Amino acid sequence: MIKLLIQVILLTLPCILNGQSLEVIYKCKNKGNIQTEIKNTENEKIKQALIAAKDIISNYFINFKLSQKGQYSYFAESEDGNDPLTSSEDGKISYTLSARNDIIYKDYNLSQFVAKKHQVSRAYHVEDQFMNFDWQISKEQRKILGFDCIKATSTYCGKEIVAWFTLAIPIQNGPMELGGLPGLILEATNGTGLIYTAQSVRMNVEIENLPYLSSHKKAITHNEFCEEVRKKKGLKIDMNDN
Amino acid sequence: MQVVTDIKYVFIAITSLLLSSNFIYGQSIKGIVIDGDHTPLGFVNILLKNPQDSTIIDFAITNNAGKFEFDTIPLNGILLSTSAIGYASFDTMLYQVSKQSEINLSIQLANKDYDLQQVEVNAYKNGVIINGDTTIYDPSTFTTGQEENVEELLKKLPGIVVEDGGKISVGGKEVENVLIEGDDFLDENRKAVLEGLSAESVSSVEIIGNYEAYSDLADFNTESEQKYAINIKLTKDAKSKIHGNVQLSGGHEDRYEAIADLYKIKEKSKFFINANTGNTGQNTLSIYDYIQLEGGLQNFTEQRSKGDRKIPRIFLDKERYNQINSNYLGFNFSKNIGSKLEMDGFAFAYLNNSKSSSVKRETPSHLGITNIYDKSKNDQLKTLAAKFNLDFKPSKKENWNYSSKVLLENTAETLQNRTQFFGNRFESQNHTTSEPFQIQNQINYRNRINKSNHLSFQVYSKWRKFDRNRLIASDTILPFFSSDNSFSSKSIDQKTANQKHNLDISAVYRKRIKFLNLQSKLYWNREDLDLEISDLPNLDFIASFEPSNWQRDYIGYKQGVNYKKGNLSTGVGINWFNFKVQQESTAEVSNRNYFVPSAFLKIQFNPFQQSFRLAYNNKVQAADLELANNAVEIVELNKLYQFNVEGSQILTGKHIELFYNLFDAVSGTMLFLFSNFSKSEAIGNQYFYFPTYELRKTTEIPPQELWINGLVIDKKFYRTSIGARLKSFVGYQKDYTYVEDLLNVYQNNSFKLELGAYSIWKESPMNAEMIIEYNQTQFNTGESKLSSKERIYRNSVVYGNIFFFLLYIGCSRINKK
Repeated sequence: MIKLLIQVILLTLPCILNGQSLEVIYKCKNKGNIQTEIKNTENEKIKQALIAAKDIISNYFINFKLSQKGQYSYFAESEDGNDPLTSSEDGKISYTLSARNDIIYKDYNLSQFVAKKHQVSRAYHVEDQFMNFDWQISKEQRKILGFDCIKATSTYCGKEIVAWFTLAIPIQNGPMELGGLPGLILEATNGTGLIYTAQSVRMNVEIENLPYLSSHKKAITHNEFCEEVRKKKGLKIDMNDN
Repeated sequence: MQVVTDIKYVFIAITSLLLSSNFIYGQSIKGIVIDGDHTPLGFVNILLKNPQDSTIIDFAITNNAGKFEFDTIPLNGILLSTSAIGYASFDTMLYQVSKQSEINLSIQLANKDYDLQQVEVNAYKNGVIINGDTTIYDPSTFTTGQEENVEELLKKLPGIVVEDGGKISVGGKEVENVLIEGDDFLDENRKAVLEGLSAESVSSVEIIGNYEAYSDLADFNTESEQKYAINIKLTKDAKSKIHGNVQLSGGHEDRYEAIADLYKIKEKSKFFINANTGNTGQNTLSIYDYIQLEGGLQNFTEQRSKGDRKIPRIFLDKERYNQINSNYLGFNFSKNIGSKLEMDGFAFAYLNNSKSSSVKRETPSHLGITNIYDKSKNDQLKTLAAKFNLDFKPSKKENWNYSSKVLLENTAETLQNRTQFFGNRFESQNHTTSEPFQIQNQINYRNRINKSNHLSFQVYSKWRKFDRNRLIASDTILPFFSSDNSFSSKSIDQKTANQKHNLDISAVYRKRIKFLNLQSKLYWNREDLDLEISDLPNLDFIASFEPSNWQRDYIGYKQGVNYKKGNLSTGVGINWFNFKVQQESTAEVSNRNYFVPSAFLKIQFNPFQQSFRLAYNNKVQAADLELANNAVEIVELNKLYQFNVEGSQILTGKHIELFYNLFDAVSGTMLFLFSNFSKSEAIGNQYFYFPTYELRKTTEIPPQELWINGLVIDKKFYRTSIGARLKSFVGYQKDYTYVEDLLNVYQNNSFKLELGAYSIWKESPMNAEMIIEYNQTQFNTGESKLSSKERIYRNSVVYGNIFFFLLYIGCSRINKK
């Protein structure tokens, strides 16, 4: 039975890649040490909320899906396996990630991206050319999902980010706006404490209609968005004032 | 100035790579990448690699015009490599010839059905080895390095599902055993081990199909399904480490605790030390510790099923003590001696001195006399236990097993009662010491002759000795009623010596012919009992415990055949046994034969693949044609649904139970709960009394019940339940006595319907309930020569109630500041 099962897994997964389509599920969670976060929080109310909710924050994650079809890709929260909002046992504190509703649409024909980003309950429409990350590739390697990955570092909104990409999948894409490496990024940090780690890579999936994110008249550039990030903190806490 | 210009096809480039290297003259490189139709290719990766170790020195990605550019390149030789989806990769060496000028490259890539998935599949192939029934995973292939423990690691392996409670399944089937280095070492603490062992400790994970833990063969009518086990192999580093926890805590008023759980797992030997000492009001040794020492839950239950029902008394004592001083040290181990011999065992010592709830109450009465109530209990317990197990596998097919177990307990219990009530005094003391001692020995042999023939036998012996001294003393003085009322003390000094010996021998032969499974079992059990009671006091009731020595023999033979193909499994069997008891004192022998045929039928199908399974199971048993038992069972035991129907029949009686349950085990929340219980039973008795020609016939139908326990929706922020409960009592009893031609009829019809709705939104509950009740009772008694039905109803009572309706809507807050 198990032999058959494994064989089914092995036989059903591979398909010939025709449409250059792929789907990658990234698990996004808070990488930072919550204790440090608590220590650095000045607002006493938020600090207490963080202490009360530190377990749920530590364990919380959201799955994102990167879908690429031909020259277009769409990165958004995955519909499967997500618990959109988690709350403490007494229900007083609910917690989610600001990045939860982030959507990034990339157009490789125009080398442009359109994004809907969120920071502390506020949505931003960002449109810009693909960013020049000026990646620094190191010799450090490790395996993710069985793929040999190479470490590369760069900056995002002034913060250092680390990406692990694989040459085995020569697609210059990754989570969020990231890309520009000679292979798919399977793990990356975003500079604000989040880490996106690939959970599965599916090739040659049938993507009938790739979702599309249209331009917005109030769209800002990436640099303008970074200015907003510097002003605010990427953590949302809802509290019931009892 | 350039060597490589307008390479037409990749093979030309490759040829040029093979024949000669490309010499470059400049410090910068520009280039264009085109396809077979000379269309520029965008987003092609151009990598410059160190030819020594293939590390990336620099890279560029072609733009939409297919162009790329490197500003600077190292002076030494460099490997240029391309990659793009849908095109063959291209590698070439570039060498510097001059420091002048720039170079232009034109690279034409050939189309290729670039099977990216194959890259992934190769990764899987490298990570999985299938060897017969065993599938071996290389964890590094499937993990990201972020996994903290074994549980997270297992979740990443394809085909394995780990649920929150630690339950593991493979292909929808539950994994019964999680082994570490081949040993079911920490069975009951699976969750703790999965969470406690770090992911880096694991070198490989094996899924073993057709796993059969050492046990005697199941009965022929037990469904034999494929069992899975997961074997976790550890890295060398992990084997050299001692894992575990050490805990020390101090406290107030002699409250202290020291716990050490340490284990070390090597390939050929394992040990586990558990030491515990404390004065915390709790026993330091729990039943879970004991099960762990026994080698896990499975071993423990197997031993219990073989008749070893003796559990040390310390685990059964639920008395709450005021003060406990207890110390405990235990260890278990296993060691492989060569490849064929393995031994394991455990030993523990436990010392306990406890004082129980010493209750002392002094209440002055209105007459100025103080009433005193005082009760105290002291317990002392010393336990020593050890077990040794030896496994010998001369070949892959054969397995010999010997195990021996010794248990010694020494207990002393003193119970004191003192009550003073209006000057009357009652005092009693009960002192008991006991020294139970038992030795068990067991030999098992199993031979899997070939795939279709299995043979096994077992010899099991247990000797128990139980000595007990009991002293009961009491004083009663009643001066308040009369100064003469002073009862002299009575005492009972009782000594019991008891020896019991069990010998159990059984042999099982199993043969498989295609879909037929034949099993024969021959068994013999002898039990000897020697009981002595000395120093009997002059109390009559003790006489009922007359010392008796007897011997009981129990010989039986079981023959069964079952058939399993696809979704159908069925079987029939015959069990014959002889039961013989010899009473030594009376020389009385009772001998009886039993003959029990049995049958079962099970049909199962799986309409929604692994998520749903429906099974039908029918068992019939009969012994001496006195008892017929018919059970119907439909069980679905998977994640989402449960549905059971059970029925049995005892002669003319019927008994049916229904149970239906629906919940979402994936999210852990109960979505829907529905249970339905229905019971129907009719018993018919006929009495014939000769020569008075009395005929009596009684028919009785007991009450019927139907319960519907409604819908429960449990979400994060609200919980709602809507339910109905219908209890219907339809009792009917007829009693004919033909001699006097009397007919007694009793009939009761009633039903009660309860409807309820309950909802809670955060801290604000809303509740609504409605109950409707209806009762009807008919009773007719002692009517002589009953001729018409009117008489039955003449005395009947009918009453009905539409009972109360309750609605409650309220709001409250918890922890309001």
